[in-house]
Order: sequence, then structure tokens, then C-alpha cells
Amino acid sequence: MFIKLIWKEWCENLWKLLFCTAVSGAFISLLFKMRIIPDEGNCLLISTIQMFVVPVVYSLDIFSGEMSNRTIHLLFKIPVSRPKIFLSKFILSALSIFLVFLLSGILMELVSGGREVWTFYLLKKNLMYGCTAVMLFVWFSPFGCQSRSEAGSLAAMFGVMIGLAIIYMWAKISEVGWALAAVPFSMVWDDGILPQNAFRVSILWIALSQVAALFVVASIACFRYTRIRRYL
Amino acid sequence: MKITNIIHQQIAQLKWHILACFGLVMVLPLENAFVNFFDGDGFYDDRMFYAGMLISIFLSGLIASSNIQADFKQTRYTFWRSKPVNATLFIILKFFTGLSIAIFIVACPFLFGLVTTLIQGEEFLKNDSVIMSIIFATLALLAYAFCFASNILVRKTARSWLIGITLTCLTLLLPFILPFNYSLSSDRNGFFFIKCLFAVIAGGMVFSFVFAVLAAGRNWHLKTNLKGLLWVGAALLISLMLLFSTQVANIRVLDEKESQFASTDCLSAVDGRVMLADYGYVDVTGGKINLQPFDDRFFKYIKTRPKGKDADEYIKASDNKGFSWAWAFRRVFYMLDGEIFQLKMMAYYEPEKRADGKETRSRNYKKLFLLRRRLADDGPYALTVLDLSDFLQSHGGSLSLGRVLMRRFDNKLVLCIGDKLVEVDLSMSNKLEISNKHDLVTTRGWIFAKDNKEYRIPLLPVEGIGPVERIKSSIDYHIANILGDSQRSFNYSCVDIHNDKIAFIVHGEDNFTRCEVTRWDDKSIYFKITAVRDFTILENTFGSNWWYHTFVKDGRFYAWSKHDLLVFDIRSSGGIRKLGHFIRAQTEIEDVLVLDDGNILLALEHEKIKNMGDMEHTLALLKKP
Repeated sequence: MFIKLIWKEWCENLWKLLFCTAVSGAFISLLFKMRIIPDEGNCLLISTIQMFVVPVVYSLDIFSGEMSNRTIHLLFKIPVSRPKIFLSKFILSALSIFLVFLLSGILMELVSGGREVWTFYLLKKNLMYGCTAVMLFVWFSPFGCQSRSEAGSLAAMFGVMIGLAIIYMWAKISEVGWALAAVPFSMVWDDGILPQNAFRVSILWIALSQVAALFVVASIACFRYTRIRRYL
Repeated sequence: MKITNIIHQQIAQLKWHILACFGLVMVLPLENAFVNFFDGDGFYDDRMFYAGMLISIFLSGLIASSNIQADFKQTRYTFWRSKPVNATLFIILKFFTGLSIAIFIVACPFLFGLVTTLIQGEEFLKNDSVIMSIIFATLALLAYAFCFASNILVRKTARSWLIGITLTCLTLLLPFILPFNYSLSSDRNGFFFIKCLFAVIAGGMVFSFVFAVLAAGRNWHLKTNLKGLLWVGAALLISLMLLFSTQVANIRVLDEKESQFASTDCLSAVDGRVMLADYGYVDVTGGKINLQPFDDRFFKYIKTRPKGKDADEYIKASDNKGFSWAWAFRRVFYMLDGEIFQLKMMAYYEPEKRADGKETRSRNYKKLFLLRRRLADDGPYALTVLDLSDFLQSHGGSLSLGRVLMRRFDNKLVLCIGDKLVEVDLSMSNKLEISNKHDLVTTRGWIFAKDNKEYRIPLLPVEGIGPVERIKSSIDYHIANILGDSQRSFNYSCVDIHNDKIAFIVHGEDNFTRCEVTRWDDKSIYFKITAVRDFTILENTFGSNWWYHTFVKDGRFYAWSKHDLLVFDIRSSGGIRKLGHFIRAQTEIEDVLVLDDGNILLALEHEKIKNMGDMEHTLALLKKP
């Protein structure tokens, strides 16, 4: 049943994957052909925009769509536990977001052909941004899982992005290592090393902190999703 | 219903949104103020208010969306429609109430920064900061207006907000994307452009307001589908990008190849073949680049060139110790009686120093030499040197090159150095001799504007060459150096001769000017301005503005700088018509060679990503635009 749920989510959200991949592909082809800025610059530009746009596209109606279309009543009546319903949406969205970045990274490698940077460098960079995008989606989940409209989901997603950006800036300015390690943006905007303080935070520490934080956040989101009944 | 009651109701509906937006825009300014306070500088914010004002652009749209959705939800829509309040009046009051709230949100970070810095006695706004702040504020109001109108039409908060913000961004980007030939020369400080921007913003707000009132009054409702909306938005964005790419980077690159070397003056055409410096021939047949090492007299020249006894080394070692030296201008190759000769000028200088001993960018020239090499098949190359140091110009206690020109006419070489004209006899293979000298009348530079005046420049006093060549050289000497780059006129010509008309292009600060020679006599040339082509906003933003190398070949005008190349048609009836634009940021164009078929060969240099600090050289073949 869980596989069928995943399949159902896949069919319903396939258009998002196609949309994001097609638009990314068009921009990659155009920018890499024009070559106004170097390939690495194009990769960073496209990856940064994708990092913000792709999670928004997925978050708009992944949870709120069931509520606004009033299909959530039917969904909760099928003989599957609510955590599984939540996980099907969550896993599929996370994997699809990552898949968008994987496909766009492969396309970047094919188009650039290693002409300026090392082989797989662009793919690696793009996948780092993809991981950050997935993290943003995970952070959105506890706030957006009970959203009843696209507006609510959008507000939740932007709230998460702005909030994390503010924490990141504060952590950078005030040199707070533990906060910097927990924020997703440090994976791509920072090499994880704060040069001027005693907290020399490594990439490994950032990764472990964030995996732990994400696990907690996803658990909270799952719990909140199971408590939806009182809002219906 | 009383107007005050409606206004009160609107504000009460939005109280939580006001609080949330206020908190969001003030977070960063407050954070900066606290950081300054804990650093001992005082409680003030002098820079983060920009971030607050930037965020307020998006939050103004949120205010508009919340403002509409509060009364346009299904449950409330019929309610207020049934109340005894005029729909138009209601929407007008709603619009201006929300606008006031948006103004308050936008103003908060700015006022916070202003008040706290005034209290602390710190500097708040610098130079262009006032204009930037006003632009942010007006953009926020534009975003509000667009979101307000789209909410009334679409009735879905998230989608309306996305539409409104997209329209706001498009309003900003349109001047850069559409081919507006905005005249920069008439707007040097950018005020006209800012006034246009404000006019567009004001117009957009008025249009949105009127549209919103009409839509509410007539109950216009556009049903949208998220999928369709996203695809339409993406299609619009891609179309704009395609349009943008037709403005820049529209010269097709036929082939690119890594090469061993690239520098100024590394590409030459000799005896119908293209050469890359001292490395080899470049074969560009079939639109592909092939590098072939020298296997003829050039190979012999490179391999047999004696080290240490080379004239350059000799000159450097003996008389000019301690001076820096520069290849002054392009090498010139020419064939005579089956032999290839290479001419180049070499200048020695020392940088001028200030009173504190630091070097400036000005150069005090000490020596100037003309070198000629003969590359013969039957023996080693021969080198002859002519000392031209006496012709360096005295300028404020130091010597400078001034304007320079070099033109070869059979066995005569005409050199203009500063205000001196020198004719050099090239007929003797074992020495160079000065055959004639003249003093020149130099003209002062001027900025051209489109008018009907007839301008005059002196004719070079050179005997033994045709009148057209004399006119061409005179124009190159007097006009091409107008912005002081002496390298430009050395080997490049800015003159085009077509259908018995002599035209030339002048590179001004903000434009290119086409002039046509009307008449000449024994002493002077007279010309008029026929067309002026200002830089567009895009060229001004992405290009190097006024520092271009320029030349004319076969009716086309080429202007290239560090990162971009522009190609124009100067024979069209419309004046100067742009044909192509090539740009690569972070890649330097070292040299440009236009081939006989119109294709363009570029020598490029850029830093290797794979090995930072090392430079990589590339040859690129561009299709004739």
C-alpha cells in the first residue's frame, strides 16, 4: 500500500518534475551557450535560483492541495496510517527535488564538456545546492503540513527561507559556530570554516548537525500531520 | 457606511499582518544596531535598512494580497456586496488604506536608521543612497499596486502575489531587455533614466488602481490553474532571455581551440596566411581552427634568433639599464621582393614618481627605437635599428609619446610621433634612414554632437603618396587618437572609402560618430557629422563604455575592449547599425583579426579554474555577423 501511495504521489506531482527540469534545461542551454559568464558562474547562478524556486514549486500544494481539493477526507479513510501518508509525500518530494538537481547537473556537465572546470565539478556543485533545497523543504514541512491553502504554504516556505537566512547572517556576523552548522545555507555559501574564532567548524560537523536537525524536524512534521483531524 | 468605519475595519483585518511585516523588515536593522551597540559604537544602523527596504518590496505584495483576500473570500464576498456600500468606493478605500500600511512598512527601517544615526552623530546616507532608498520605496508601492490588481482578478492569494511580483520585476528589467536606444550622452548623471523609472512606476500604479476598481465593480474573475500559470510564467521568462540573448552574445562562435599564447598584437596576416605570434600559422578553412607550427622562414627565425645578441637584448643591456620597456604598438609585416619584413617600435620608460616616492601610472619615456627584421629564406634574419628618441615630446618636464601613427607606402614609412612627422626610407635592406621631417599642427579633442557644422582638420604634409591615402592617414592621426589611446591609430584605420565617399568613425565617451569628408584642399580636410550612435543601456551595463579599440574594415566598424566586441555596419542608409555583440566576462580579448571572408579571429586569455593563477589561452573563430 505504501508503494501505491508513492506511485499516487509520483503521478500527481510528475508535472512539477517535468516543469522544473524543462525550465532548468532551457536556462542551462541558453546560458551555457551564451557564455557571458564562465561555466562555474552559470552553474552557481542557476543552482542558486533553483535552490529557492524548486522547493517553492513543490511546497505550494504538496500538503495544502489535499485540503483545498477536499481529497484529504478520502485519503485519511484508506487503510494506511497517517505517518505513512505523510512519508509518501515527504519522501517523494525530497527525492524529486534532488532528481531535478541531478538532471540539471548532468545536463550542465554534458553541455560544458569539461571545457573550463574539472569533470563532475558542476554536477557536484549543483548537487550541493540540491541537498540544501531538500533541507529547505524539510524545514518547511512542520509549518506547511497543516496548511490549508497555497498561500499558507507559500508563506510557510518563505518564512522558513527568510528565517534561516537571518539566522545564517547572524551566525556569520556573530561567529556562532553551532548555529552556522545547523543552517542549510552553510552547505553552499560557506566552506564551514570560520577563520577568526575558536570554533573551527568542519564540513563533517555541519553534515552531522544538519542530519540530526533534519531528523528532528521531519519527526515534528510527521507528528503534526497526524494531528490534522481537529482542523477539518 | 461611514468611511472611517471602513478604514478602521480594513486596518483591524490586517493588524497581524502589519505586525508580522513590521517584525520582518526590522529584524536586520535591529540586529545591526545591537551588534554596533555591543561593539561599543553605539545603538544605530547605517546599512541594514537597505535589506529591510528590499524585503518590504515583497511584503508590500503580501499586504495587498491579505487586504483583498480578507474580503474576497467566498464567505465574505457576498457579505460586503450586500452591504449598503458602493463597491467602487470600497475598493478605493481598501487600496489607499493598504497603500498607507505599505508606506509605513517601507518607511520603518529607513526611519529607524535615520533616527539612530542622527542621535549617534554617524553618517547615514552617502551619495547615491538617497536615490536607491527612493527606488526601493517606489518599487514596494508598485509591487503593492500590481498585487492588489492581480488579487482582485485572480482571487487566489499565492498566485496573485506571484503574478504581482513577476510584473514588478519585469517592469525593472524591460529597459535592459528590449532594444531601447536610450541615449546616454544626453544623460550623463543618469537623472533622466531615474525620472523614466519613476514615471513607469507611477504609471504602473495608476494603471493597476484603475484596473482594480474596474475589475471589482464589474466582478471580473480569472480562473487560473497553478500548472498553467507556472508554464506561462516560465515561457515568458525564457522568451525574455532569448530576446536578451539577441542583444548580446549574438555572434556565433564557429570554433574554439586552446592555443599556446595570446597577447596584444599576437595575430597577424602575412602573405595571405594568419599567424599566431611566434608560434605558428592558424588555418581557419571550413570554419575550424587548426594550428600549424612554423616550418618555413619563420621557424628558422625563431630557432636561429640569437639570444643575448638580439638587438632588443643588446639595447636593453647597454644603454637603458634600469628602464622598463614596452613594445610600443603593433608589429607590422610586409612583403617586398619576395622577402618578409617585420617592423616594430620599442619604447623605454621609467614610471613617474610622486613626492612620497610612490610610482604613478604616468610614464617618462627615455628612448624610442624603430626595429626592422628581414626574414629571408637564404640566410639568418637581419636586424636594423633606427633611434627615434629625438622625436619624443616634452610635456611638463617629462617625455611622452603623444599621438602616434605608422603607415607604410611601398618603400616609404610615415611615422607621426607627437607633433613630428618623420619619413623613413625602407629601400636599403641594411639600414634605415630618415628622409624627411616635418612639424605637425595637432588638433585638440572635442566631443561630437549631431549638428550641421563643417569641421576641419589639417592634412599631413607628406609628399609622394596619393591624396586619398594622405586624407586617410591624416584622419587616423588627428581623429582616432581623440581619447588619447596612442595604440589605436598605429596600425588600425578608422576610415572607410566606398562609392567615392570617404567616411570615418570617431569613438566618443558615450557614442560612436560617423563623419563624412565633404571637401579638402592643400592644407585641410573638411567633414560633417552624418550619424551618432549612442551606447544602449545594455552596452553601457555589460560593456567597457568608452575604452574601446576601434577600426574599420570593408564597411564594418569593429570596437573591442577587454571583454566584449561590437560590430557595426557603417554603410547602411540608417547610419551606424549594430550587427553583432560578443561578450565574455572574466575572459580578456587580447587581439582581434578580421579575416578576408569577414569571419573574426579572437585571441582570448582567462584564468584557469583548474589551476588558479595560471592563464589559459584560446583562439575563437566567430562567424561574420
